[in-house]
Amino acid sequence: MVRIPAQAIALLALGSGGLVATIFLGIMWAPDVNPSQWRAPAAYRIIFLHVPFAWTSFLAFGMLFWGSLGWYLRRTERSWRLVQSGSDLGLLFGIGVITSGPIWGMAEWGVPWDWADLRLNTFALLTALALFIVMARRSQPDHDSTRDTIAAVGLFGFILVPITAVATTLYQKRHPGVVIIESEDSGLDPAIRAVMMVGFVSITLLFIGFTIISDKLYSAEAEIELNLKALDEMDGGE
Amino acid sequence: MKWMGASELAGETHLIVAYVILIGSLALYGNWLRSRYRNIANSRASTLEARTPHPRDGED
Amino acid sequence: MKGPFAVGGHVSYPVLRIKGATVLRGSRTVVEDIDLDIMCGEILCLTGPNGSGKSTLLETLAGLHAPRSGEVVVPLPNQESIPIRDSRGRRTPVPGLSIALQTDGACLDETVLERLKTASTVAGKSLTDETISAAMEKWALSHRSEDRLAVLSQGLRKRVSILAAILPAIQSSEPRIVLLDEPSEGLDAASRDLLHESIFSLREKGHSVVIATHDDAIIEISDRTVEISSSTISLTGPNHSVDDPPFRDATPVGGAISALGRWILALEMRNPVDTVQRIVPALLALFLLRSIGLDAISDGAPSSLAFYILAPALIAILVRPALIDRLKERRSGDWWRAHLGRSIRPLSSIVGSPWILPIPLTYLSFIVLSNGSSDIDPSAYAWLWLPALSMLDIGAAATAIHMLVSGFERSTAVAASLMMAILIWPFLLLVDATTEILYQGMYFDIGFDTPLGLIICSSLIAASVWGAAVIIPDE
Repeated sequence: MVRIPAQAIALLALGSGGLVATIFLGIMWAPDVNPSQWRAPAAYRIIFLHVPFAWTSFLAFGMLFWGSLGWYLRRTERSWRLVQSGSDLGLLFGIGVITSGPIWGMAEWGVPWDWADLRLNTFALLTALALFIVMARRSQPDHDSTRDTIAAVGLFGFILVPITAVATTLYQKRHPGVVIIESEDSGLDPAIRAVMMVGFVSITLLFIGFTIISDKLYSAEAEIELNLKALDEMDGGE
Repeated sequence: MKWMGASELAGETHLIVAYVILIGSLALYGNWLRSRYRNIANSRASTLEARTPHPRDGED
Repeated sequence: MKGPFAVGGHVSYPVLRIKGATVLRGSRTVVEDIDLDIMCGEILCLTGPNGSGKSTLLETLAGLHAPRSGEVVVPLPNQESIPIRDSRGRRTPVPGLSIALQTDGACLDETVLERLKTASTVAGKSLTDETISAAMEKWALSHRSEDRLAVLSQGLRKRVSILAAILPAIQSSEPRIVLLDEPSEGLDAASRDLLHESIFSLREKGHSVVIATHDDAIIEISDRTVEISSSTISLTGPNHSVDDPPFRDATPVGGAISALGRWILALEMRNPVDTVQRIVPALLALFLLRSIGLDAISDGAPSSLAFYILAPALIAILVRPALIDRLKERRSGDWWRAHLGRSIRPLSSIVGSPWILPIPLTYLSFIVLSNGSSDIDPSAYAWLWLPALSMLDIGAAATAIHMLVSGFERSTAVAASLMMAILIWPFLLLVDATTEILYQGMYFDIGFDTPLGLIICSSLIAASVWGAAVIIPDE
């Protein structure tokens, strides 16, 4: 029987509460930016969620990478569960990053995408990878050979990260005037930074809660699958 | 309200759309976890003892 | 200590050995922790009920399946061995192997004669047309020598596939290994007699024949049988131990590599599916661009024209290669993998890329879209082939990615294009290079801003992606 730890529920509750607080503070309390310097001053508040989402998707992709490597080298169930949860959460938070980023870019700079921005493009690449892996897991029979191929594609996707870094750097040399969308640089107003910290903490708590629950659910589903296979044999099938 | 002004309307719409997407996706994911939990709890196979220990038990 | 095992008058030694191997198919354990030697000059039958794993075991001998644990090796003197396949990812094609899979193991666009010639070349034996004709005569295939396998009946195709496996061995004086999976299935009585006769004469010549079969007549003439049931095997037949087997080199695969290249080209020339399905969307895009009018969609920046000139070629090279379907057809890819091992992906991703399309498409786009624009350097058209040539690297990388993600059981259900996004950057660098060539003319300095520098960077990035996609084994 699956037992969701109370801590995970608590983390979700705290994270959700913190998320609500972040939104409230971000909209109501965080200071305005100078309207003469910004084209769409209201839109900057997207960063209060956009940046924490980027951080957690980074964690999720790390989980996916670690799981892919673990499965590729040693084929442990725990590694596979990391691949499962990592790809789900990487997709969830990655989509958040690559939608909110361009939305802000359109509002502020009139440009939804920036081929020279390393982080944006790396997130897009890894989100595409996560989507591929989620779709493959759902469409293919769950055999070791399937998992091997998925882990191989996962590792391939991660090898592309440094290649993307080189590529975007080269592209930026030729196109330096193109605006970097993610410009949360230094010199941020302390109030803005405070709200972002609340956002960071809330989304991280949510992430941890989701990870624990996801892991437990996948573990329980695997056990159910084993029971179902045992039932198959009792019925004389194979 | 700090941001009422016609000149800020374009940014406001973008802000709302972005937040809806971000929060909405979190909510959808949470809902999906919940429905999986219910499926597991209601599954007939979950009330049986596992017939075979998983081949990789003890490897973790 | 027993002396060398004698079979049919020859002194025997193990040519292939399975050591402590556990093999899975899907989630089922087919065999667990088994040891088996294939001796030189013997007929070994794998028997067992349907679904017991005879085919899987046979294919494991050919190195087609990685054992979960244990290994398949070619034993050498002094306790050494050539690893054919182990659980740690090592892989070498079996020396001197021929295999007839249960399906044809061939693309159905091949003709009978082509099939036999290819199989012989891949096996390291270049046979004359006369030799092949004589064999076809014996197997009643001469009247079909120029016909494609697709038009033949199942029984005839079976004859072709068996002959393709045994012909190199019949013509060979060195010991070879012939693996046959259910060869009697689908054959008429006369063909079956011929099959039995051939198997017998293979053994007489000192070759090893391993057959997965239900055919009692074959089981009767075999030296040993291996019965597979419940993940274990039981051997019947004489036991043996051997000291100091003669040394055997691994067969060089050079002939097999060029045979693969010729196979890919010949099939495409016969049925240019790949070319057509690449050209059509490229040309559609090009003529749509022309009819809409570039002014309506471009922002007038110099790089726009370069982008639209290269775009049709990009569309053409990103299309899923028909080669993947050809390799999946009747498991012809598995037949090639048995002979080439891991080198199949790097090779086929290069040979299977669309070599002839990027340059003509780029020039066509230039003619259609540039409209005699006065800003363009007059010498530009003479150098457009250079960035177009570099598109081939992107094409090879795209093909390799397609092959990597097609390794799933249900490959129709996966979206390869998700992994293609990385190729945007090499493309953008080529757009920059083309922009330079169009408006500044061609010059040969090397730097990040120069046409040559940009083209080299683009090729290096595409080559890295290609390398990553071919180097990660997924099976």
